Amino acid sequence: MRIAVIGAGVIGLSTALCIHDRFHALVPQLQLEVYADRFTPHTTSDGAAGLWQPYLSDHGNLQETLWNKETFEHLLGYLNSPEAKEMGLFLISGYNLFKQPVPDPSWKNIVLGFRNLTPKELELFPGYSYGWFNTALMLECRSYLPWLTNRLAQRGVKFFHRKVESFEEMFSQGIDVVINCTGIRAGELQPDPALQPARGQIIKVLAPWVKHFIITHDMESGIYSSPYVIPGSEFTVLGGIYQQGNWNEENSAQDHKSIWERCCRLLPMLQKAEIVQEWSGLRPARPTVRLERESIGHGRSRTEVIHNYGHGGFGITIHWGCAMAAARLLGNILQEKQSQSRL
Amino acid sequence: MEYCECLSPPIPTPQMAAPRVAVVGAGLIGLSTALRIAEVNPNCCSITLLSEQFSPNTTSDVAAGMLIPHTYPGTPIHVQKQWFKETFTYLFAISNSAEASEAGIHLVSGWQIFKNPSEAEVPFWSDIVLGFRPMSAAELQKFPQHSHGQAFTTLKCDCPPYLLWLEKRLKANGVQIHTRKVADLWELHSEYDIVVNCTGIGARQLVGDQQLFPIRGQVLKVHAPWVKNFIRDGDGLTYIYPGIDSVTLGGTREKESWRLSPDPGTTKDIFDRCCSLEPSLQRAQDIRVKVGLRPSRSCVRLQREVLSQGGAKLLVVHNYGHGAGGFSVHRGTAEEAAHLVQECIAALQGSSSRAKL
Repeated sequence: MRIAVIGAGVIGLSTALCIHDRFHALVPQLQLEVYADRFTPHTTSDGAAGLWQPYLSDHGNLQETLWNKETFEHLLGYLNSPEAKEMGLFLISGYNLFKQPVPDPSWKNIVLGFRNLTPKELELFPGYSYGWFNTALMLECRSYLPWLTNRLAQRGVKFFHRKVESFEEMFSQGIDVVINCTGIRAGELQPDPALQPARGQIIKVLAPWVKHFIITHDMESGIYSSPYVIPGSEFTVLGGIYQQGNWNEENSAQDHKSIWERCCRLLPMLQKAEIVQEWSGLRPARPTVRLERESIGHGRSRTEVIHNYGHGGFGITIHWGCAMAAARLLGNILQEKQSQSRL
Repeated sequence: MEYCECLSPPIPTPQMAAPRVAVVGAGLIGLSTALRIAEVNPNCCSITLLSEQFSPNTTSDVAAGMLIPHTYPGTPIHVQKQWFKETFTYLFAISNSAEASEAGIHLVSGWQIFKNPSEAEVPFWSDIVLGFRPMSAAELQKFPQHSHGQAFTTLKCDCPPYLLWLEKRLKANGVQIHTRKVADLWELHSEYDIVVNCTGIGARQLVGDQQLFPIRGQVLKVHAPWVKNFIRDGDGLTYIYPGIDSVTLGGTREKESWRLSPDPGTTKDIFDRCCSLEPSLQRAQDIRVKVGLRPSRSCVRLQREVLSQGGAKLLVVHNYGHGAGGFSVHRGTAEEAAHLVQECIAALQGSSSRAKL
């Protein structure tokens, strides 16, 4: 039973690990392979700051809220373990700021210590009149992806550095099930108009005196189009760009200026921060995450694809819940194949 | 007739020369007191700071600089609260400005946790720090050995940056700074009219204050930049305070110990205690050990004194004995000391004009 995961970002690697965890003992002949043309540190996941935080509203999509919760709790379990640092996992507290009162988010009881901001705290952020404080998690992919990769390699999972051109290519090589974790480029394997880039750009600075994340919101411009500051273990990420439909992975001088000016206005002390790096990436945005089975072909040559892509700007936040859901779908497939083989 | 050398136009004072003020001690208290004196007396006195030690070799440099007050048994709570409020307000404004990184002032959030519910009382300063509230059950799960806790956001003054920033402000205010060991306050009587004694633990020997005693604290400064929240055990002995370039792990409270050299057994003990609260610290790098002697007293000695020998007089303002709470109240006690200095100046001017009659 050969299973190929296409994509080695946070979604691909975590799905591979979850599958291996769940099935390697049950299916002794299970062979797991990961195919990707980009590995860490060159994936979209590597560019993300790594803050666990869903969007403000789940638009009634309770499934995604549940996957977010499962991810948070899974990560919390590792927090006090010796692995945490190697995973790039740590607790972080911070602020979400608004210009008017907003309803509490779907994740208020998932994070720790969620509360509204006091008037004195709001004095820190002129122009913002309402906000939240909570403690959440950071999961830095430049540590987490290598950690996942090491775990997979230790278990004998094979990695292939190449671009997969089609599902058929996989099946013709004897792959039984494909797990499609190709993120923004899923459309190259199978057209999907619902999947669109939401371009982001960030500036990484040295600002070790910043200990809180600060995410501002402009309810009119939309998520992540308003400045944010997210301190990592080494660098602080400044951002606030969300451009739908923009495929350009090059850094834009105009976006740089916009991020820098708005973040320095938010946090004057950033003016003294040294700029270390600039990065742009394409969030794989979709109205809902595509997490479903698809049978390709028919009869004896029927093969299965499990899609797991379209996680927008919340891939890290939702990854483990989705990995488990993908693993469950694989479980169904394995069960069906087992029943078939008995007929 | 002498003119005082200040930033403003000189004010001729026919009665007397501009008072000469010496501040002894260049730790947090000395520097912040000298600055406050300069700020409230911009026109009329010359200020010199004298100290044997400067940053990074003061007691203040060892401390984490967290604004979490220590309670002085000998001082009314409303006074301590006022001192803390003034200090917090002052630093809050700096933390929110472009100077914050240079001054080493930053906000930090975290938890104070208790094994014993009776210890988890709401402290007098709970409404001065930000967002003070009891910890939720979910938050307490991170600390299985503790049953209660308080979450809040406060300020941290990283040293050396804060002390160096104060020194810079002093120079901008025309304060002269000299390295000098003062063995006896009286030795200053011919050069200065008013001496402000901010010698911390040094006051024990300098002025023979038997009520002042050291409480030895050993700490570790480690590289663990993923630690973003503070954790403090309510017993005050174990704490993890993330700073700009290092995390301070503590600590000890050894009464009457004058030992300045680090103890290796203590180092291991501190490290183990902190790792039990924050296991990821096992991966901390670059561990440096420091020792400081908290200048402890039942209350801060903030008072005037007149020294005299023969016909000569020296006015003294004492500002020492802040123990474990120096950072939390430094601006408030500097304010009070500056007022006492103004009283001294008024007394000098009064006696000077009387002398002319």
